Amino acid sequence: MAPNFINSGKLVEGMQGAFPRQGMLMGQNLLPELAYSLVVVVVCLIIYYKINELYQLSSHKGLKYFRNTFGYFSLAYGVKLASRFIILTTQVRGRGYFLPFFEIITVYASLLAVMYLIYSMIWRNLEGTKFEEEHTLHLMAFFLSAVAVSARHPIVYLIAQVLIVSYGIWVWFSHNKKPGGKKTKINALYPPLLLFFVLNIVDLFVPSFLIFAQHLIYIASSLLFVLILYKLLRIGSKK
Amino acid sequence: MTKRDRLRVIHDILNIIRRHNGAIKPTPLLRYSNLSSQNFSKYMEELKEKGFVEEKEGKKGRKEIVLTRRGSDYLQKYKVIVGIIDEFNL
Repeated sequence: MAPNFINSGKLVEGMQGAFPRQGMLMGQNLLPELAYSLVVVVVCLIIYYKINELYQLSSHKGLKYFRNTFGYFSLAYGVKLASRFIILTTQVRGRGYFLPFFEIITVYASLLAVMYLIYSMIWRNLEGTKFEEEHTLHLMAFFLSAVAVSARHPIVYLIAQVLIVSYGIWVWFSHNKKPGGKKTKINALYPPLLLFFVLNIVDLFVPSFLIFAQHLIYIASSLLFVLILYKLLRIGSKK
Repeated sequence: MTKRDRLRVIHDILNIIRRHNGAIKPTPLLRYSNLSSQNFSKYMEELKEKGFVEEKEGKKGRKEIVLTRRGSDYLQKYKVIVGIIDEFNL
């Protein structure tokens, strides 16, 4: 689900001095991407506030990490949405210089979102270790995002994402193969969530590769977030 | 008998208070809660800190533990909290 934001920087760099008309940008799938980002931001914010309410009552660490996952997803997609909106509506010269800051925030937030999702599953195993400290996550995410954006070489970002996703998959497998370990249905949602995360990265490097599937990925990713929200609301309505 | 987790213990303590019309003296509460006095004190500190219960003077000037609105909220949302923790494997 990593927002393919580095592309937008390149897009803007290429536009210096000759910004395209809105129609051209619309032709580059910006409108569906805007709609997709907006849906994800709204759904993630609803999930964030629902979980936050329960975390305030319970102080359960798993809930805190789960809440943060959606907080950072909404931040990542919110900043992406804002940058797309700027590209679409403003004609300010030099905007290519401040867009990297948006990129850093987006990459940083999306990395943190995935890290927090992994933490929400394994936090019990991390108690008493140095990884329990949340600032380790922030430092790691900030370092990786700063390197990826300043190097302007998306391969760094790709390696970071793949490493984090691989770690998540490994945790998921080891968690589920425990004898007598409880297997929950929602676990089935995490692999596609991580798959779309990787597909978005592929989209980042080879936009033509997924050109036909892009809208499908947008729809499927949005549906995944909506499904998580639905599950939350369903549990809430049972009482 | 399985060990109760923290959320369950909090639920049980608050539920005992609710069953006693929202106010109970500390000694019977300790007895009904099935905790050691050390653990009971620890939980009471947490409950007071979170605003789930308050200490008030009863009719005869004796100390009573009173369930607050926030404590009732916890009891109401307890199943949802546990449901989400189970469902999402948190």
